[in-house]
Amino acid sequence: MAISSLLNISRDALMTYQGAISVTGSNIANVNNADYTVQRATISARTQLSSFQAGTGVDLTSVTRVYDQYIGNRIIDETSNSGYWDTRSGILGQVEVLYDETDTAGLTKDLEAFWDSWSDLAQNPTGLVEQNAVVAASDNLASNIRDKYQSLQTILAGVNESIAGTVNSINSLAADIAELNRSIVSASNSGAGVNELIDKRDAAIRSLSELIPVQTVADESGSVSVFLANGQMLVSGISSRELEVGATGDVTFKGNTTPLDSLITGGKLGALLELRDETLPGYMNSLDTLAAAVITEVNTLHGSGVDQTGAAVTGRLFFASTPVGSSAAFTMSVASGILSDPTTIVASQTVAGDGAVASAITALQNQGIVTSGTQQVTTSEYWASSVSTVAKDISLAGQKAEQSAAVMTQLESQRANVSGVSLDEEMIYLIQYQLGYSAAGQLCGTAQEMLDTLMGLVQ
Amino acid sequence: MSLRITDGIRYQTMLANMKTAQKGTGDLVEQLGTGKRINHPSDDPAGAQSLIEWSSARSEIAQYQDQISSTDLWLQTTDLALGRVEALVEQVADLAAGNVSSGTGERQAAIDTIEAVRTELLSLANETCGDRYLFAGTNADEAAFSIATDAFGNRTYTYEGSGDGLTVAVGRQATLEYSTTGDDVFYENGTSVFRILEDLSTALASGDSAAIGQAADDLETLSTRVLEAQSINGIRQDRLESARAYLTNLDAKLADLVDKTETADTAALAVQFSQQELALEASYKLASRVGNLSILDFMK
Repeated sequence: MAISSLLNISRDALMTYQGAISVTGSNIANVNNADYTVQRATISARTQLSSFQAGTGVDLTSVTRVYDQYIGNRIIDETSNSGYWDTRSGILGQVEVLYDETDTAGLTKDLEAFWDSWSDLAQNPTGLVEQNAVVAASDNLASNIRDKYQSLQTILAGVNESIAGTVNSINSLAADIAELNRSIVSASNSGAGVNELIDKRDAAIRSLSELIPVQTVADESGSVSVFLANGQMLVSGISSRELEVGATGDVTFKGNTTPLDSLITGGKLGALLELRDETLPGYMNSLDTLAAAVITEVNTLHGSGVDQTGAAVTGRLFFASTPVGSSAAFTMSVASGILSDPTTIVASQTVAGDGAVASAITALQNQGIVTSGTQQVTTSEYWASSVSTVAKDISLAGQKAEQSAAVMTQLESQRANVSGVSLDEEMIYLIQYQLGYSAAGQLCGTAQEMLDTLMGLVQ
Repeated sequence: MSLRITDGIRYQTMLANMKTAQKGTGDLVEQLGTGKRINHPSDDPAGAQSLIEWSSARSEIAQYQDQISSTDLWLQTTDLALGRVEALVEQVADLAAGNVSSGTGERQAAIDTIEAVRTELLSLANETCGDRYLFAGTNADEAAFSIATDAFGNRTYTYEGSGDGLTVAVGRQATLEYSTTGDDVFYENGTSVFRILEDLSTALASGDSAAIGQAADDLETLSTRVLEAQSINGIRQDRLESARAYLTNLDAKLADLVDKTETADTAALAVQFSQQELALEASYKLASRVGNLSILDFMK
């Protein structure tokens, strides 16, 4: 074996350890990069040329990512889950403000003031103060119901905008993933390193899964296909499909009319669609039901009796009638005639002072005038159960979001356990590789001395 | 493979713990600050639902109590008015009975008294509570009795009120008729007390003993009827009082329920708060130390 081969071995070793130290350096540099997957230099001996010869040195054969696919998949699933509950809990947080029935405010107090005012009027049916109080309390009730309904509509409009924004983000992420697939396949074909590209792609898939639940399948070429939860392909190799929001608000694949709404049940998009199509309309319907019941029942009783002049009155409306096709809550208001002249209130049944109509309207407060499912309940029971429904939704969303965050922390910790960068560990590797490098340098010096000795012999 | 605790996760765990401790402290501060256990409906959905229902029930009770108070005033006024009516009717009945066969001078004096009584009775019959007429029944916005005087100076008395009494709700299923109607207490045999008195004056002036005797009997019967009306009024006051006591009791029970559901247990909260404070302090202390632990400190 030639002495010069010692120099080769020394050269290869120096290069190998230098490479390994670069890998360690890169790991240290990325210690605070959450998407980074720790890399390890694989160092292996070069093969012997023959069984009579010593080894031919060392080689840095590959730089690999330390990665657990199972944990990766769990994180993708849980990210969808946490995206769903975070979004739901955030938007319902806006709704809760409308249903905050504290001591001094809220529809409960408005309803109480409304019934109270009728009760006072029943005691003094022709009293101007009582008549004005009824109009004021009714106007307040109507305007607060309207306000709540409009606020829900505003939230709903915001949700709709978010849906469009989310669909755009999904499209751009899907395009990114397809582009990264292309880069990865072409880089690995040319033998270049792809670890950082894979990290980027994983980060993109994770961001995507927060918006919409996805499943991924990797193929031999190194590209990853992304499917929606129902098996429809979103990214296939280097091409991706786009989603769009149709004129009716349905989410479809571009150029396809089949709605995907019912299939998207998770992620931010799933939460937004459910809020838009079920949750918020449900809350708005319950306000409508309440408003419609109050309007109808009060108007029916108010429609026949005598006003304060003693004149018999038929069909005089107290609340303005709801226009056909409109929402009762959205249009609820005291009839303009009553509003401008409270003395036109019909409070009595047969003579101006009997107050029977006002009494009957007061009594509505403990009658089941609102239909809730198969039951007839009072206005306060109905409102209490509406508030409770909203509160349960909010409470559940909050709890689930917290649970999901806890699971994510666990999974992140597991991922870090496998793929995270530990500075202590990297320092040990650094010492190890540095020693190897020094020793290889020493080998070079020794080889040089040996050559010098040899040259000295021939002089 | 041994468990690798990496640097990133150390900081993340620390951050998560700190957030948990901060949220816990924040929740407790809110409860301590407001003194309430339920500050948002989602703090306790079922509790929030009960609170709304109880609040409505208490508001309804307050309505009944308001009505009871105003009705109570009405009944007291009625009681006073009826007491005076009874005394006056009794007075003229006695006067009539004593003057069946008295002399002209005495009869003239009696006529003067009767005229004064008639005027006072009319004013009592049109007595009001607030701006509503006590004895007009459901037609309480108009005076119970009106007088029309014809060209010859003859007066006609008409009851303008209604035969139906005013009612008040003192509970969901309980209504109480509380007004005494004028046609009950100011009429005898279909003739108003004012007409009887006018006729009595005429009879006294003409010395018609039979008519005077008849008037005395009628007035005596009427005074009994007024007494009856007064005792019915008293029974109504009793009923109102018992309804008020029941409602007060019910309201107190509801208030107790509201208190138990809504009010935070301050002592327990204070203990939890100091625990939570400790946890928060610990997480801060840990945060200041965690960065110091590294192999780099030992490499020279």
